[in-house]
Amino acid sequence: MDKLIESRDTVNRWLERFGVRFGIYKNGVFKEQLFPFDSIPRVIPADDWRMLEQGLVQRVDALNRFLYDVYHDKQIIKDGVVPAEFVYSSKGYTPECEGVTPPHNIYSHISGIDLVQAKDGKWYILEDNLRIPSGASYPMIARTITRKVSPQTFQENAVVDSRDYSQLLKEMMDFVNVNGGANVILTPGRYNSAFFEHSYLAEKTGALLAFPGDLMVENDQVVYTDMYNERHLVGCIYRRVSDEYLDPLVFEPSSLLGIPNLMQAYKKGNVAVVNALGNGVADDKGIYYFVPKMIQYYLHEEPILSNAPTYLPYFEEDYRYILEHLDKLVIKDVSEAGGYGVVFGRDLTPERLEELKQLIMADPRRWIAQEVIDFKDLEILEGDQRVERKADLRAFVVSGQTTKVWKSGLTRFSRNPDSFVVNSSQGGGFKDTWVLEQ
Amino acid sequence: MKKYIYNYQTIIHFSTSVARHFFLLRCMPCVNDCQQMSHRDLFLYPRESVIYGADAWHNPIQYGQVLRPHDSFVFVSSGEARLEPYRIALEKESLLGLFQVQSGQTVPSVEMERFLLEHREGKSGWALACRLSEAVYRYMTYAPGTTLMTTTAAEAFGQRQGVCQDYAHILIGLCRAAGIPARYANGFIPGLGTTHAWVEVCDGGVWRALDPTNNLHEIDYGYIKIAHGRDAADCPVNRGVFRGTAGQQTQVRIIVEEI
Repeated sequence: MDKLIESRDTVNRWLERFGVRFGIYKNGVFKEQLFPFDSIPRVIPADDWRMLEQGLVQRVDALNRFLYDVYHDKQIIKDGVVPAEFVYSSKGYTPECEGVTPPHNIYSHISGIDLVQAKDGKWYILEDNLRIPSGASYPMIARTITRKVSPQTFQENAVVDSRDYSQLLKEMMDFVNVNGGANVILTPGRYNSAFFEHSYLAEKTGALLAFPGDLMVENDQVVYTDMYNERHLVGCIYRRVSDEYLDPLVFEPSSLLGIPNLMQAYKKGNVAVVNALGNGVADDKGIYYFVPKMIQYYLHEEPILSNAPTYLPYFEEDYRYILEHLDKLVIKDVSEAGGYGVVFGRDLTPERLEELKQLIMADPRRWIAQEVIDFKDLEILEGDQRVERKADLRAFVVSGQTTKVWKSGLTRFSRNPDSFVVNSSQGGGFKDTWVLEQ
Repeated sequence: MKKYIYNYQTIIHFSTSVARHFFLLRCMPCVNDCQQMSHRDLFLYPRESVIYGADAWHNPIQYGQVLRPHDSFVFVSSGEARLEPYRIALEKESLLGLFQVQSGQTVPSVEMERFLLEHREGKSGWALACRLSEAVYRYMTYAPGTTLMTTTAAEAFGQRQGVCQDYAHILIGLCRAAGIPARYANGFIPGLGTTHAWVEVCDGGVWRALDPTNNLHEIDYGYIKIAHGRDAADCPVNRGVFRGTAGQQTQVRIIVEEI
């Protein structure tokens, strides 16, 4: 372990040299910053992992079934399990996807499921990210570098090899690819916060890295034009551009990042889009509440992993509870992501608390409230000191022919001792995640 | 049954030549219970192949691309429609819920909610929709140029001015707030003019139409529909993107006549 700790600065130097950066916009200015790596790994014993793995596969399978149902028969609405209003008024609900069936009925090919572990060891699901979950590349490259800097670490510890993530991605893309054409990763470009990841994953999966303008739809087929002006048919697009910018003729008209008429090619089944369009309806923070019910409804199984105790002000009983206990709860704006729009009641002055109450009363559908979970802190190195900080785990679940969980994940921690928010866009750091062989 | 011929022409002039122009049009009438087409044609300049499809609401769409440089873009949609009294059986029960919640351009303001209460008077369903349509007609002043494509119901209601699109959005917002499923319809009406917008309301499993701009409640003939959706944002007649920095000037002419 000491060797590993010594390796921290070396690993970070290598990460810097490889350009492993994370871009953030602060006050309208784009800034790239290093994503600080902490060399003490999160260690997950094999037994814990088996339980996590089963729970994650179950959850993602149910979410995929839900997405298919919502855009087709809507049986779950008709049966009164999820209120229609929650679906139709969700920002992520995309009527343009009605009746559109993605290849093999898979909507969420890459799911980033955020979990936390409480002090008593129990894991809770914090949120599901089914649109464009990012972050897998950081532990991938950190593991690769650590293995070089400190090879004995992996001889002495029975850690499951995690270098197969790109293989999982490639197999999934090949599986959903509709015509044997190229797999491409579509990036919004150099100034996207996760551009390093886009280029790294393209290199590792052997996919083409496409910039806006490299792809074009002609006669309902997607074509990639390379630097020699040669045209290649495209069968699968792993897009890192969000739905609203993906086709300017159907969604945001001013988008320069999109591919005009992509939606029509996609509707005809002439290209796979990874992740599918319309997934936002299932990772809405309001829909999250219903995921355990979805597992029971579609799979007839009991959920293996629990949600954090959640209240929806939409329901009368919860509404009253939230207003009475606001100072003890975490309040989340359902439409925000990346750690924005998360407020801890206990941090607010009485005036701000009252303002928040008014906001909740004015628009109950916009908010959810959760009990604060007593996180199990993880050790990090602050200078040469070992200190404890809040951390979460983003597990990556890949759904192709079968649903598989990558045997690692992104462990993010807060550098600020008082903060519970660990998102990288809020300036945290990351660790490797070790799954033990036994 | 009544027959109508229509001719809908749009000419877009670009100030300099453009290329890689992709387009998606909703300019051809749809087919439904009360609207059959004897024929419908589309002429396009520059001459390019067009793909005919449908959007999420089953509205006909026409799309494609003009890759070579061009300095104008013309589409002419013409044909003959056979209309029955305006009644459309509910197509897809499962989507009805979508027309019961507010959408981007229909969210009512506090003033609109108050307006609804004032005019409700114990009525519901179709009778209430008719009353609201007349109330909107009386409350608003028709004033072209005072609103934009993106203006919301609340904004237009606030200034008491607007065009058919705004009248329709206001009525839809009020109907949905009263629990009546309502949707936006776009198309042609007899005479010489531009496209027109009206409202469809679902009553007892049947969509019926109201035209708040012209204070017409029980629409029967003469309304040729090209698209419907949650609001105007779902039914643009012409969307396009192209490479180039050209300014554009658009001329539209529609002729509809009963034969």
